[in-house]
Amino acid sequence: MRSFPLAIFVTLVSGYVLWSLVFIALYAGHGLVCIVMPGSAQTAMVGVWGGAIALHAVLALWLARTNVLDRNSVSPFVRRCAIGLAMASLAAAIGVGLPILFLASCA
Amino acid sequence: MTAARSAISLHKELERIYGSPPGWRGVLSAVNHSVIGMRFMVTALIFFLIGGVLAMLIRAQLATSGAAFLSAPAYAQVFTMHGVIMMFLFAIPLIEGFALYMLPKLLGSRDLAFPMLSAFGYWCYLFGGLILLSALAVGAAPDSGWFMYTPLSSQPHSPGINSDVWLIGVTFVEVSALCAAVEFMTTVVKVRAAGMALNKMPILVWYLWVTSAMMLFGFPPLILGSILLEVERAFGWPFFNPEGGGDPLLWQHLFWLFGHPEVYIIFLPGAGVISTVLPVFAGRPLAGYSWIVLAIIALGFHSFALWVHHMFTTGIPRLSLAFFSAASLLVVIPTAVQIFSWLATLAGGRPRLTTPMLYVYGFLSIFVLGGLTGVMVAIVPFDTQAHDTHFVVAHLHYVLVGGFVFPLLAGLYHWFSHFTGRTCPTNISWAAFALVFGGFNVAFLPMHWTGLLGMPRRVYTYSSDAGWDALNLVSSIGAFALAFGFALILLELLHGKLFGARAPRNPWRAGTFEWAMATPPPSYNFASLPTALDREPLHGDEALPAKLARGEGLLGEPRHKWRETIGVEPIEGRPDQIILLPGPTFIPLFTAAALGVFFLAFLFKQYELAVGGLALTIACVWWWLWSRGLKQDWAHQELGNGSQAPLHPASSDPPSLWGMRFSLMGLGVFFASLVFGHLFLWLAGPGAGAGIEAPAWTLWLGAGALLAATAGAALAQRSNSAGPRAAVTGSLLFSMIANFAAGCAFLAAALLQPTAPQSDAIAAGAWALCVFMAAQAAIGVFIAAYAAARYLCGWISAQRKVELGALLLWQIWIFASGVVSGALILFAR
Repeated sequence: MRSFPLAIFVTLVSGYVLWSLVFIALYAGHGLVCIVMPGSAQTAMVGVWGGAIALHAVLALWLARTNVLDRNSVSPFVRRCAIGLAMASLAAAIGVGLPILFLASCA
Repeated sequence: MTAARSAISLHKELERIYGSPPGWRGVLSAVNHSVIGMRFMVTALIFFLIGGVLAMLIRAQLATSGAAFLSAPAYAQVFTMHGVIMMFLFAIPLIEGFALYMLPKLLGSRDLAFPMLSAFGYWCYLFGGLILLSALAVGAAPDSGWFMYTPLSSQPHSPGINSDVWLIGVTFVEVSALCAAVEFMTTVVKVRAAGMALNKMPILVWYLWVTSAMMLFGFPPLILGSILLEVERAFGWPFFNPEGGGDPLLWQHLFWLFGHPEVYIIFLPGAGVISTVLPVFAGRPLAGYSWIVLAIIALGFHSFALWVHHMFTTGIPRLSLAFFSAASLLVVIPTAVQIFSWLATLAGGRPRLTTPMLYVYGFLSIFVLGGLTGVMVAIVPFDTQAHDTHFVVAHLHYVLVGGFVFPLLAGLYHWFSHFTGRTCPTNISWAAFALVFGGFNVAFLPMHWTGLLGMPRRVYTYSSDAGWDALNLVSSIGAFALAFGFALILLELLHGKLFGARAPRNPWRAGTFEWAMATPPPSYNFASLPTALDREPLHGDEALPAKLARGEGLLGEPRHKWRETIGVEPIEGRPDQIILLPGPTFIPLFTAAALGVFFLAFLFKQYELAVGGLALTIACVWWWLWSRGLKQDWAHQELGNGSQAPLHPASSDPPSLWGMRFSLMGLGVFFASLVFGHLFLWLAGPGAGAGIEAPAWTLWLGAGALLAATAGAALAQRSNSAGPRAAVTGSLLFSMIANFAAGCAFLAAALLQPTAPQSDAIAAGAWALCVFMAAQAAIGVFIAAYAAARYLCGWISAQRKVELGALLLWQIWIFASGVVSGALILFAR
């Protein structure tokens, strides 16, 4: 089967693409939540963060099993890098969101 | 396999084909990457010397309290231009030049994907730099700091031309950087040696590739911010003025969205040099290649999530600050992975203490110290105390000088014989290093204390009561020692260039392709092209350079006087096309000059002339594109190993389509920044006014017309494969008309609504979106017209159809952006 290079590149960095979207959701979402529903802001932020961690975990599992990265001789290297980046981005998502547990959302 | 022939006869024939014409004609028309890359590097080093002189002026003024060496206005221009020159005219262009020169050689190819684009980029850099330098010479240089915060840089507080010089000059230079980014990304994806799969690329290529991706994504926010501020200054649209509903904080967001990735754009190539030089002198391969690839990519992404750490004192909510503080701490991890990899390589090898290694060790110590103070300022309470003091000045010099200048010096000595063909003498290397390393630390280590004692940045003098005299005097003495060290290095390199002994091939016994050629390199790099069997091919086959010189590699027989290199499939590196390279041409120079007319006319508020400059630029772009491509179908051509490949215009995956994809990514970031700015002002601006009441029908018409134009482009592409000629021509004409209608609709959306853009920031934002969409539609008209003209000339066929593919990509993009723009204008008001 034909491999689509652009799809392989995107899959390679998919963990950090997801992390970037999560970061935008946390930063922008924090501002929106404090305008729209300040009383439930803390719960909403914890929910977004928890959802982000779950998405990262699902992505890492999918990368370990998908055959999108197969069909070429470099697939072990590409798969290793993709999973490594997904794990790193999962750790980064946990790290970036930790302050939610310790700081009031709308102070 | 081609028959072996005399290396000398092959060299002579290739030089006739690939060489530049003699004299001024050659100087002005050269597009060869070695020539353009060397020009970039030399020009950047000249700017470095100028920036260094400005630094000496700063330190002379601050050496003692109450000094009157420079007046306050003069000092403002001096420190601003020091930052502007170092960040925009030295660091980034030097990286561009190094990558232009080195990438094809590392990749085992004869040139980059778009040689004319590189030449155009150089002229834009030179012209933009000359605008800035000229302003300095006449006392009209920018004076609001290298990051030009509003409202100081806005019209009321900076009524002169100084800020306009920054906005227009820097934007001109940034055009060069964006061209380089698209060039490098496309080259790494498509223009590699046969068999060079992703995991066989030299580690320096990974560094330069991620750097160019960061440039592609990082520079558009600055370009947008510069355009918005210039429009505010010239036409009064209040994007950053609270009285009109704007917000000066928007400038800071847009600037630092660029500014933080910028410092990693500067650091990563330096780290790439270290990852290349250190293993050579450690005598073993780099430890942890895959780990470093992961770390580079992670660092690239992380760097875009740190920008607010430059804004910790602006009153942003605590939790938001905490996200950026956490991200700023996390970015240490991928950096540390690289550092431990280097230490492991040293520990596992037998390091030789050569001149390049002196600077590697210097880098390790200084950059790590800078990183530690970076962790300190990543902590919000500490940063609140240290912000805008000399502590930050000390930190940034430790990371930038440590992370870029020291690797630059290591690289200069390492590749000196490659650049010049001569051996660099090392008689004064140790003394020069001692002065540079010692002088740097004497200059900047005390600055941490100066900052903690409360000395702010950018003050032109200070009182003797403050207690800062001794520390400042020590810093100034150190700075002059540092300057003397650089002078010794310059003398040593010049001496080596002029009088050095002829260097042997590959004096360091390195393993990568750039050492498989004569030095200094010929215009064609490789007489025949190599096949990459592993990451350090020269270690696996020491006879490879001689074999390639005799034409025993691929494309070893010149034909039709073509300039050829191989294009590959991006993942595994299988050859899939033969790329025909352009020869010397004046088109890049003329195009850059036309763009310069536009920028200069805008700078001096001659708007009719600016329109003329823009028209001239468009004409030059048409001429440029018209000069490229094939006018007839060609059969597949021999590669030289028994297989054949199509010429690139007939390939299903030519470099130009990748260039279009990457360009659209950069444009997408520009658009996303505009959307961000509009939403920021709508949600967080200091009180929006009436907003914009655009007639909804104009926006629906615009989106509908863009959809129709997209359909026309798709039909043209389909009909070209299996349809009558009239269908193709008709579809392209339809696409042109639909694009024109879309442009008119978006302009009408702006013109028909009652709120003037000068009176309200949200209205100004909506106007900006409408003008942006109209401009994109105009480009759609251009591309469709160009494709139609080429089709009518018979230069597009079922084989050669890249113009139609590019048009379709463009149409899909502007339709998507049109829908988003329309929705934003209708609902965010």
